Amino acid sequence: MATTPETAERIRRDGRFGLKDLKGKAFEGVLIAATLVGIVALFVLFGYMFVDAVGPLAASAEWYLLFFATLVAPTSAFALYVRRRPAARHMNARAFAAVFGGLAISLAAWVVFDATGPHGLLLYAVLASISPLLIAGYGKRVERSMFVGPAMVVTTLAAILLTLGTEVLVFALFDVIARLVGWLPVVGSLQLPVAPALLVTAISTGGPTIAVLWYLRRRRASTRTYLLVPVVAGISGLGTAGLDFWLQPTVDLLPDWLAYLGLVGLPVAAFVAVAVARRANVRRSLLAGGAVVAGNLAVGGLALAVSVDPSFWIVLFSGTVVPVGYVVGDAIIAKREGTVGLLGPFVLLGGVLFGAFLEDVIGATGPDSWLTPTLLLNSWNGLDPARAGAYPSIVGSIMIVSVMALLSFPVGVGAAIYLEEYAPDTGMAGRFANFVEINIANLAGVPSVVYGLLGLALFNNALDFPPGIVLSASATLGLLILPIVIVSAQEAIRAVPDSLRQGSYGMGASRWQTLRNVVLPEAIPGILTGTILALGRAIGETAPLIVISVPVFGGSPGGLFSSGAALPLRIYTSSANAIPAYRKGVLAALAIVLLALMLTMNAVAILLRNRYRTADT
Amino acid sequence: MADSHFDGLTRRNALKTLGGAGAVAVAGCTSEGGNGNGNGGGNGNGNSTENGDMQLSGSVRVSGSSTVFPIAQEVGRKFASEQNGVHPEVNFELSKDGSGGGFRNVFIPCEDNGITPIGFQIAQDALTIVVNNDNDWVDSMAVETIGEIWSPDTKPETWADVNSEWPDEPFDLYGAATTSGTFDYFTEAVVGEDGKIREDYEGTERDDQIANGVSRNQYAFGYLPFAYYTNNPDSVKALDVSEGDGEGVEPSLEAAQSGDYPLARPLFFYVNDNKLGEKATLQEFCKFYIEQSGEQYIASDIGYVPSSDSRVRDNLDTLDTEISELS
Repeated sequence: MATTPETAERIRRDGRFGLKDLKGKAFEGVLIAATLVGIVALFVLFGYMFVDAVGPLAASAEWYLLFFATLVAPTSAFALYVRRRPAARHMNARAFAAVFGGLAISLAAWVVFDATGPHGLLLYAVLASISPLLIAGYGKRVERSMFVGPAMVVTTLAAILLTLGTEVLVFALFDVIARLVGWLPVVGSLQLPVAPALLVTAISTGGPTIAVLWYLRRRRASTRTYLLVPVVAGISGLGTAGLDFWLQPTVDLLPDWLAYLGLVGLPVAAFVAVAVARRANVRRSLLAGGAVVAGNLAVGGLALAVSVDPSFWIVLFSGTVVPVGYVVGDAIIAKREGTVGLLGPFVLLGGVLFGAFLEDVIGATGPDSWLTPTLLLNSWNGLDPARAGAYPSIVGSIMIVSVMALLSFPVGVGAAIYLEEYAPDTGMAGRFANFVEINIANLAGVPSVVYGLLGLALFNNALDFPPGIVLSASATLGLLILPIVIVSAQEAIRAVPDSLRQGSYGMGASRWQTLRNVVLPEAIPGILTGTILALGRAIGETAPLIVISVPVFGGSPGGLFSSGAALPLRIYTSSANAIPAYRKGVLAALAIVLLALMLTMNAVAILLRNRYRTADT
Repeated sequence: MADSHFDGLTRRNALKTLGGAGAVAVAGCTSEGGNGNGNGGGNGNGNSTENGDMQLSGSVRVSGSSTVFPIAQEVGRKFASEQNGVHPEVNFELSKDGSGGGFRNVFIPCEDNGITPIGFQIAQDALTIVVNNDNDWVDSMAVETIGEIWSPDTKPETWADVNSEWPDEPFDLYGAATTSGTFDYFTEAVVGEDGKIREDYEGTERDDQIANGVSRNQYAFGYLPFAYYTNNPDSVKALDVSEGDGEGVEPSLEAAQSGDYPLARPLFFYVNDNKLGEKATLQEFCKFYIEQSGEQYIASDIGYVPSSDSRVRDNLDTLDTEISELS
């Protein structure tokens, strides 16, 4: 080539090219500035908020010295050490996930269970799981087990419908129907032929039975399999009657900590046993499950011995100690590499505790923080900022968001799967599916206050729910995020390469099998990412909650049908408090709590997503 | 502090979960109580068992104005707080939608159901007229002049339009939103007719926005509940208010109580009469609210004039009469 570096240099110096170069540089500069605007604004905002909430300027030099010596230095040193060793880094990530994920989940579970009371939830859990478990056991005994999956789903749904609200839903439905037909002269004056309670029993017993019967007939099942019909009918009937007459008094008599053991300890033990059984043998799995139960009992016994209520410690043990023990035990027993990485979270936690201890001993002046245990654990006080706590609002927000996730995730993902995998592409039906899809995308942009109006009309007015209960708040926010969940789940499903589907069909798999074994496992990380974003949007929503009149002051919600409370509303009212300390310190600290809550949720969801990703490879 | 939560788990919580279904059945208008200009009321749902030790249950819901909000919040906290309330087993819920809003939401839809709100005066507020700290041309103003500034009939554009000695600069007006009881009182007492006001002002439910707006513009003018002013005395300047040719009176709790301050206004709470007759929880809450309205913290911590002993007694008598008539 004739073009030497010198020629290139000469061309660049030439005016015309120089100008072009300048133009390019200027454009790049504009782009960089555009990128920085957002980031800088964010940092300035957080900086102000942080200074207001934590008051770092009030801390003395010794405090900062202590902070660096006990927390920053050891953690960074450890991070640097681990960074060079991939095995240790992997282990470190696992340990962090186990410790902090477990901590976040157990604390969230505890505050919700504490607010609602464990007995009612235990009753629901027992009734919802008893039928699928019995059917699974039955399915293992009879060789042909094709029916087990659908039967488990049907009975679980029946049990949930039964326990979580047949009465509520059915009564509300009757009410709405009665109102709709009330203006008709003859029909409106007709009374229900039977008592609603009887109808509830009939629906919840008859529905599953008929469904199973119909399924078995279609499959021309053997006579033995027909035994399933009385099983299903019996379980459904047992559920309906047992809830009121038999199980509830028994469950209510349990001491709190035993209820927590049933609600949290036993399922965790079963989960560990199943997880171990997949990797090792049955004997070991029983051993692991037994160890978890024994550990729970030991914690309970110990707490009782020193006369502390063991409930919290049982939740903490099952939710945090068990997963950490599992990760550590797995690393040591299987003699994996990089075991040293396990120390990561303990260096951090140890640093915090040791630092706090030294701070006490030396008496160093810490930051003038509003982000105190009082703020997190007390209920609200509107006159004394130092005693104002947001505990009920935090619990309310956690409850609203969890119920919302439970409501919108299945519906959203279901709709996405239908639209991507089943909906026809051509003809009238195809055009209809197209129309639905376009409008879901439009719905994603509808302002939240409009969804608030929808909630007001639907729950407060049409269904006559008391204003601002947890269920209406969750359902309203659920509708709000539904389009986002659908659209992102659609994207994730669409991103699964068609070749995988074709391969699965080529091996003779049905559409359902392909979906279940090929498409969904590939798409789940993407679906979770979309849901994370949607949940993050929902936890900070204020306008819809104001519209459906969620109270701004009150105790923690005691269940789905008691009045909600929400952190964003607490923030909103604090910002108008007459006393200046609320509008500055408390407000900023509350905003940080809300952000922390959102980030924790995102982190937990990202952990889940990463698990699926690594499981694939 | 942590412990108070960890041992706070009781059978009551469990019952709440299960009893939740029952509350849904309480339908429509009858399910909520409300409150009015000031704000107020409440009503309980849920049942009460009246055995000797006065075990209450269910919930009390209060909604209403931002002015009475601090009182309702503190009374509710003392009544139902899980940590140190007198009846921790009661659910207390408070929402803030303006007293007009609370009244409309709670009572208006129920008129055909024959609900009449019962009102109790619980405190007094000295409606405070505020201007910017840099405003050096006015320290005192007559109610009539304030009315002239805010009236849609006169609607002066500049300060000089009202008084030629004042600067020729446009007004920047801040006041309460139309849903607010403060708005109702101001239009009636100052402008002269309920709901009559010029339209070119910033109306908000948030007192801090009024103070904020006034503190930013030298020529701004606004009105606030005294409680807000007394907690933030440096952000704005309060004017003395005179009536007719009288002396200007500085806004203060004493002046409001004695009646010297022309813009002293009563604050009320209202209660749903249907519910009051049936619910022991609600009766107990109203009684508690009235008793608390005579407490000194209403003056020292919140910034309103508490009820005098005789008014507390009168209110309690009225309450007893109403309850015995209703039940």
